[in-house]
Amino acid sequence: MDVEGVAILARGIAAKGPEGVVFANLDLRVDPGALVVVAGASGTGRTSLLLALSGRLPLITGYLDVSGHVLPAQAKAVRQLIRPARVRPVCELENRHRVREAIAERRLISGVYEDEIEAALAKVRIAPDRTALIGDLHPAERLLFAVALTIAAEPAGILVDDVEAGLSMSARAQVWAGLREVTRTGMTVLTSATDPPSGDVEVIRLPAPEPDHRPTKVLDRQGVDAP
Amino acid sequence: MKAIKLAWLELRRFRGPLRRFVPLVLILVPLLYGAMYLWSNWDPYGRLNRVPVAVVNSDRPVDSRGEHINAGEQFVQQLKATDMFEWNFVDAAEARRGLVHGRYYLTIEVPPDFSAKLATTADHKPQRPAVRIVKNDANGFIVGIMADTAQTELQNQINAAAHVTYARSLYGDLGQAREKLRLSSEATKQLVQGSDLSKQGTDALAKGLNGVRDGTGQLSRGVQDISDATAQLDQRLSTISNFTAERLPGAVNALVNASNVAANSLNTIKTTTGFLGQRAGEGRGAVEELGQKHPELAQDPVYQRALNNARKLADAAGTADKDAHRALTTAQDANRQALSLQDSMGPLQNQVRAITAPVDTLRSRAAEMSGGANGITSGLNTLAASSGVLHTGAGQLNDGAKNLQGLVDGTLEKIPPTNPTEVSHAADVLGSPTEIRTDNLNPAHVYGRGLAPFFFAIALWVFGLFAYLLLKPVNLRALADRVGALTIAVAGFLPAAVLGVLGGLALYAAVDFGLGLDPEHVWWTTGLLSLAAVAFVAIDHFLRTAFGAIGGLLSLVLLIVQLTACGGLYPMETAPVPFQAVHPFLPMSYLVDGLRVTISGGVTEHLLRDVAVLAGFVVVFLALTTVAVQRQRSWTLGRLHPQIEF
Repeated sequence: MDVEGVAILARGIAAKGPEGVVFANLDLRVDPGALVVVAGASGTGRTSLLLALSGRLPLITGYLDVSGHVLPAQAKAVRQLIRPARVRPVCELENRHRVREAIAERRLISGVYEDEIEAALAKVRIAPDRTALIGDLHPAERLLFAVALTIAAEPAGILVDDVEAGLSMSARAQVWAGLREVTRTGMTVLTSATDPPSGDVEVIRLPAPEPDHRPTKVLDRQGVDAP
Repeated sequence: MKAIKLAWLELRRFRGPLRRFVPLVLILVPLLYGAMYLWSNWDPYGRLNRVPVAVVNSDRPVDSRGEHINAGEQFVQQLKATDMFEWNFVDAAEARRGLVHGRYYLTIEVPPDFSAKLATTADHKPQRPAVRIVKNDANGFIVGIMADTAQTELQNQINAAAHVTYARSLYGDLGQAREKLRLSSEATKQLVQGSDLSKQGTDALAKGLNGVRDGTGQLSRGVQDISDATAQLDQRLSTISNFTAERLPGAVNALVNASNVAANSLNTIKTTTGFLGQRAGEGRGAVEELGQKHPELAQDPVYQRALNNARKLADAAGTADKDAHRALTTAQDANRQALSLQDSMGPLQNQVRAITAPVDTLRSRAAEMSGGANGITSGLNTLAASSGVLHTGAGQLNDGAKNLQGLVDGTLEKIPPTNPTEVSHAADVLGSPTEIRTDNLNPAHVYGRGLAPFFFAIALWVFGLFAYLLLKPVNLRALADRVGALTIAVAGFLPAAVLGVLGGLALYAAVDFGLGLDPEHVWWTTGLLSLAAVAFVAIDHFLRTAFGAIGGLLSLVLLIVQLTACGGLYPMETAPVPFQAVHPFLPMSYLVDGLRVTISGGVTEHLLRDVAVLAGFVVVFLALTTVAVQRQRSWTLGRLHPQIEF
């Protein structure tokens, strides 16, 4: 598995919802194969930003370039590059499916083969019981299973929203470890979390929304360069 | 209090640009449903005059009893004056086509023998003509029920036309009766004139008989006088005889002469009285003959009196003749005695001279008798003439009476019969002179069968509405991947579509086996139900995909609109204009229309059109869903965090 990950460059981007601006005047830069964490409290626009970077949410202003594709004109190409593994509520596994049903669905959706999915499961180091209900899987395993299904098609980047949700500390470590493994293929992994893990991650901090819903202040990109 | 505060807090949740309208929408749901429904069904009976109905007048006018009876046209005019329905006066073929194809909801047919049967009213056995109403439940069941309620008024219209015809026919008969009575009146006048003539004849007869009576009286008196004079003469002659014997033998000569003269005179008298008696006898004979010729006169008192008088007259004349004869004999005896005394009884001469005076009287009385006899003659002549007039008058009287009888008989025949059975039959026919026969091209028979299309349509729509509350319209994982929008749309559509078909078939089976729907075309019915289930699901799928929870609300609104505007209950013509305007764009309209054909029967073209339209709805809405899915590959904040969710 060897993937050319996406590189992202954004200048002054902003997005707006029915209840006001979600984020504004945001600059960022993501290198291929990076593990990116959009950090901020829930409701700060983490999900929106992930969707916007993958060409799934229109911006109201700013410049955004994903691996040479300029948004919003080439949003379709960008969506092909970056696939969501789990974005609430945009993309989640069906809890009442069995594991094998989810695999069957994925094969239909992405046109991947069984062995590719097996390889992906091995990559994130899980081996779920094929007859188990998704909802019965351990939350960490469930998340990694969703990641595995997504990377089986070898996209240039994936989205994993709200990584830490419902996870214990040890489970979080397992998930982050799995995601690091994914980045080793060259794939860019865009995630969101309340607290970024330590280590070689690029962190994008989003401030808590102000009560009066005024435009968010300029956010500085804070990142730690990969070694 | 706590409960109230908690309740208020529940309502406080609805904040935000859209969410704040949620309670308002909830408030409006009853209004939407109730007001729309009531608005569309507010006064369907009051708008019956917009329902197109074909009227076929096949009636052939007839001429009866001198009257031109055109009851069919009369009925048509009567209908034109009312606006019960929207009348279309067409020929039979067009009416049939229109009814079959749903351009007309009813046809009213006036049969060819309508006038002919109405014209039998004045006959002994009147016939009741029938008007035929043909319905077609393939165009809606309720309109047939509406027609039933309008039937009473329609019956009144038809009866009114019939009554006008009756009046015409009756006045025609009256006119004829009046003409006959006028002729009768003239005949009566002739009769009166005849009886006048008869009366004049009778008067003349009476006058003639009076003349006879007077003449007879005169004769009687004259004869009496003759008798008296003869008696006096006898006495005088006795005196003279005695006197002559004693004193006047010289007068005998004179006496002889005188007695000779007297004898001669009496001879003349005798002749006269004989003639008189003969005439009186003839008069009596004439009157008796009159009586024999006209036996009806025999009982007439005047005639009887005349006959009596004539008889008395004849008797009196006979008596007078006999007296005259006796007097003549006596006079001749006297004459002979006088002749014997002539020479010796000269002194009697003077006294004999005295005899001349009574003889003069006798002579004058004899003249009077002659006049009386003449009176009898003329009276009898008058009588004979009068009897001729009487005969003529009686003949005229008889003719007039015969004419009168003929006319009265003729008029009598015009008057309707009085046989109790016939009278009761005629009264029945006249009371309700026409009947309405109803027919149905495609009868639904029972209310449920007639309204099944409507309720099937509602059921299938409600299925579509509910289906996507429980099923996911779009597979979001597929949406996030490379899968084509059409595939995603179909994948989201198929589960509900299949369940909808199964649901529709379950409904059909329950209604058919449980209630006895017994459709005309089972396979078409089930096929159409399946297609409609698929079409309705396609529409609801699109609404849920494109508009989310709002789409569910839109589906509810559509349900209400279709309930009111699909024409499932009343004919669309009776609905307010906005409902009529949206009617052709509603999928339920086509399901209702098609199911009517498959359940009650009807034209296949309708069914094929409905199938095509419903299939079109499937294709169009799947295409729209595909477009919506394609657009959803990119999210919006609004969709990401929808403000309203079911």
